[in-house]
Amino acid sequence: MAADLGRFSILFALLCAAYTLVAGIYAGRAKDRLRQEQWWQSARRGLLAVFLLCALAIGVLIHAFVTHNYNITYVWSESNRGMPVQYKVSAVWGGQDGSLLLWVFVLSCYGALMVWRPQPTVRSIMPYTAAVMAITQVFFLLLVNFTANPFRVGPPHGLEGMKWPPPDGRGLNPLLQNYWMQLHPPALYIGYVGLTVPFCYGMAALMSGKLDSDWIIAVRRWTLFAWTFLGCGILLGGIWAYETLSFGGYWAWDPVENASLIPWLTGTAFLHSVMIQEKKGMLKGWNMVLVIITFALSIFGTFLTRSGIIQSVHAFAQSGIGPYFWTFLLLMIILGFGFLFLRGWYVSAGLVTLFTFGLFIIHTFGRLKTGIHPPAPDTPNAPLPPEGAEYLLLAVSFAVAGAMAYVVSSELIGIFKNDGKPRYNALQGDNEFESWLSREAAFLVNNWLFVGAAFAVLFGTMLPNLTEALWGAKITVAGPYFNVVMPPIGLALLFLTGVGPLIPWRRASPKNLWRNFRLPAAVAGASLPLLWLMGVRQDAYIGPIPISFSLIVLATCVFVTATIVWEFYRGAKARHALTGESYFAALINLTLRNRRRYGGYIVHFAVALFFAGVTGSMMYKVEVRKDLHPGDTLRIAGYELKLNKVAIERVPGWKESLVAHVDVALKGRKLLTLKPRQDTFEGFGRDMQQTPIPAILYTPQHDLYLVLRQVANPNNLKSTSIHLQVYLFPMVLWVWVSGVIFLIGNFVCMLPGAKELRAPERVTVKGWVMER
Amino acid sequence: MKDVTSSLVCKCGCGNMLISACECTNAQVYRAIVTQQIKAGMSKEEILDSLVKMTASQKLKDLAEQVEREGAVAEAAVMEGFRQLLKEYGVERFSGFGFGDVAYFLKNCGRGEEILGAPKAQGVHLIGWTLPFILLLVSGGVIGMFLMRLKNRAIPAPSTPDSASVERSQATSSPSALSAYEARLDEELKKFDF
Repeated sequence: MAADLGRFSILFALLCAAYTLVAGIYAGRAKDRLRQEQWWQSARRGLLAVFLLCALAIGVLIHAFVTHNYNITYVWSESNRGMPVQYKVSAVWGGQDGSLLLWVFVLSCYGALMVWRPQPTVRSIMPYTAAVMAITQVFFLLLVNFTANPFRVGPPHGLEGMKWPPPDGRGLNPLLQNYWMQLHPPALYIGYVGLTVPFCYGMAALMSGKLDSDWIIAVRRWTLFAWTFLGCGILLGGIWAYETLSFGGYWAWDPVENASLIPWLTGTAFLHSVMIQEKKGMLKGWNMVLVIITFALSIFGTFLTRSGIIQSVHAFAQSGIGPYFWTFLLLMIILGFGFLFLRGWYVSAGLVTLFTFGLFIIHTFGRLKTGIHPPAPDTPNAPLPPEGAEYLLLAVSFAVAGAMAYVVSSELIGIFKNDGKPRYNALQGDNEFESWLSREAAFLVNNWLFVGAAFAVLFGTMLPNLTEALWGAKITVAGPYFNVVMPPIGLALLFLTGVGPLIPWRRASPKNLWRNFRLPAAVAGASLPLLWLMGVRQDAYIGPIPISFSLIVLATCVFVTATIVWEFYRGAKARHALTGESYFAALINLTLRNRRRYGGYIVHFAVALFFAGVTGSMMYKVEVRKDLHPGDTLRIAGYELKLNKVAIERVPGWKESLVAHVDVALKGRKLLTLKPRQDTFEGFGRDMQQTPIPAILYTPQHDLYLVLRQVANPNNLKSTSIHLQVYLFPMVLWVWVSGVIFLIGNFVCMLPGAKELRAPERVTVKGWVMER
Repeated sequence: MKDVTSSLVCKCGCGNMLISACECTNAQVYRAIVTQQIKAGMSKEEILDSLVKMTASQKLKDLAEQVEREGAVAEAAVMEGFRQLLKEYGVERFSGFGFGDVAYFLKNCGRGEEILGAPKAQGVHLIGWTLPFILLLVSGGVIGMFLMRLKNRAIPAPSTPDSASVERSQATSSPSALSAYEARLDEELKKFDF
């Protein structure tokens, strides 16, 4: 019954999305205002219906998990009776089918919110916006209905003979049974999926030809929201890795981690470049490109996670549906660049094509030549597509790339012959550029570095496939590569974080620069010897220069913080002088009256704090390993760790843990008992290996991180020795704090103004209420 | 030790974890080998080179195939063969691991350069190391040219003198007037600030 309800919900949702697609396009093309309104309202209700049906479907699935409905294959596959109820709920996205349903549900939420009360300024492009949203929904609903249906009933392939429904489930992957896993995937999905909204608006602007800055203004808050959640999702993944994987860190440049970072980087570039379009009318075409590639990269990230073409710690998410994502990605890019092309932005269309084509070559030739194929599907209802489809895609891609190469080259020749002016360009900006020392220039450098950083991460991630496809050499590209390539780009971005906001628009005079930067530069300069004396000098020197990289990064963090504090101080002081408010009230009112500006500063401060935390925790971590018997002690950085006892703890039907009780004392005073443990989860057919779960003492200075690596004799816990691994991570707490500040800053940026809260004016035409 | 093992990755399927951070049998065997090589006085580069060569060697492949083919029957021969192989690469003493561990290592240790966390910066791999920076420089140059063109376009002389240009020409006539003009310009520019 529940399975039927779920199946019908997603099937009807698919029908509604398909209808919305047609109705949206019809409304967009209708000439008659009334007819347009009628079809638009219909498309709007279509998206609302998709939302209701998807909400019903996910509700049914959650109910099935909580009530142990093992008749549903997916519920059996991802849970068991012994699991605590909160993990039963998070098991909904523990496997592929459910996580796709969650994706669809989040997408349907965005669809409904997008059309619920659109801004009047973009009212005319909303039908197309709904149509593009519907295309995306149709794709995901097709997947959920026909290849990864979470409501499938009956034994999976290979286990056809088993008694059905079984009395208990297989259980969830042990690594996913962590509270951060209840937050990390939904936050990440809200971010990833949210990037669809700017894409919908951008595409709608392109389709309708209404290419002024209205869509940019309408989309800014959506993008900020999605970008914030993507950033928080990434950080929550870091916390999960830190608290669960016990590899001594929170970021490993794993391909799937990289896949989430890449759209975040291009999204950051977009959030900055929209300002330049709003203020100066520049970069109209470039913003379109950023919107399209950010969306494409979010789909590409999902493709990387699911396809298994790259070795990753996220192997639990792999299956055979990667090629479907690839096809969808290609279609969306063709749609995007096709409209860009129609609107006269030939060069960007060419860039996007080359980008797509490059990825496709890597993927297809990588597979054909090296025999890398997606692994056998973990879930039985995810068949591989026929190989022939890939050849067809290759042919299409070749044809499109060839055509684009012809058009782009002829257009470039035309530009040079025609004094730099394209023949026709609806996206031509009101380009005015006066000085290299201006905020416009700072924004351009920002975009250049962010897109460059995104490219560097993408390139490094795909480098093993590329090298194998081109030269047949098998290589690995992991932390040692990224830790060399990314820090210089990161440092340049960090520096720009401090400099950019304080440079005026149009052009800066030496006087401006002196007024804005004299104090922050002095503070940063003064911090250098202080940091040196505090011991920030241990990592590698930069060539012959006796200054360590970490010292430069931390001094730049000080500089950025000083610029922000200086800005707040100057603003509050001016307001205090003007209004007579107290400094504190002036500070609050100043922030609330200039939410975007000061919210942005708060986010920039979070970035500086993040860099400081990462530098401290990664470059100055200390590691000690030791075998300990009960009563033995280990000393590290003034802490005395004494193994008190090793005990066993059981939660019937769920897990069994070997727990080391380690007393932690500092300067002879006992602080607490840390309990690193090894969990063994119960469950049919699951990996029964022990999973070490670290115990952590968080302090602002450093974290004491204990991992129980081995229990020599689990049968005699009174006298057994253990192998304990201890890390000291300086400043890691600030990485997480920076996430909270990042969230606060973005919240401030997103707060609506009084003008925005005003209800739109409505008129009635032949009984239809329309917004002006 | 940490420096060396942080340059190696585990290929057992745990997702390219660094050998310094991984706890699987594969990583433990690697760490034991590296410890012995450091004791033998080998440098980081020498150790990494030797491990790349060892894992790419035919002898190691033969041993792995023997394990695959004959299983535990070949225990003595495989263990002896593995010790001999390690000796060739500077490991005089290898203990604390059984046949199961060695068999696991032979199967999962990775082959050749893929055991390195990053390719060596030589040959074709130089492209991989430098391309992001080359593209950044090239794209930076293109953006610079684009801005230069915009900048040149943005300063055409007005055909008829407007009040601002008259003021500007008056302002530039004396140093004190110039600073007053700049101060006013600064004030005006502030209005553009968001």
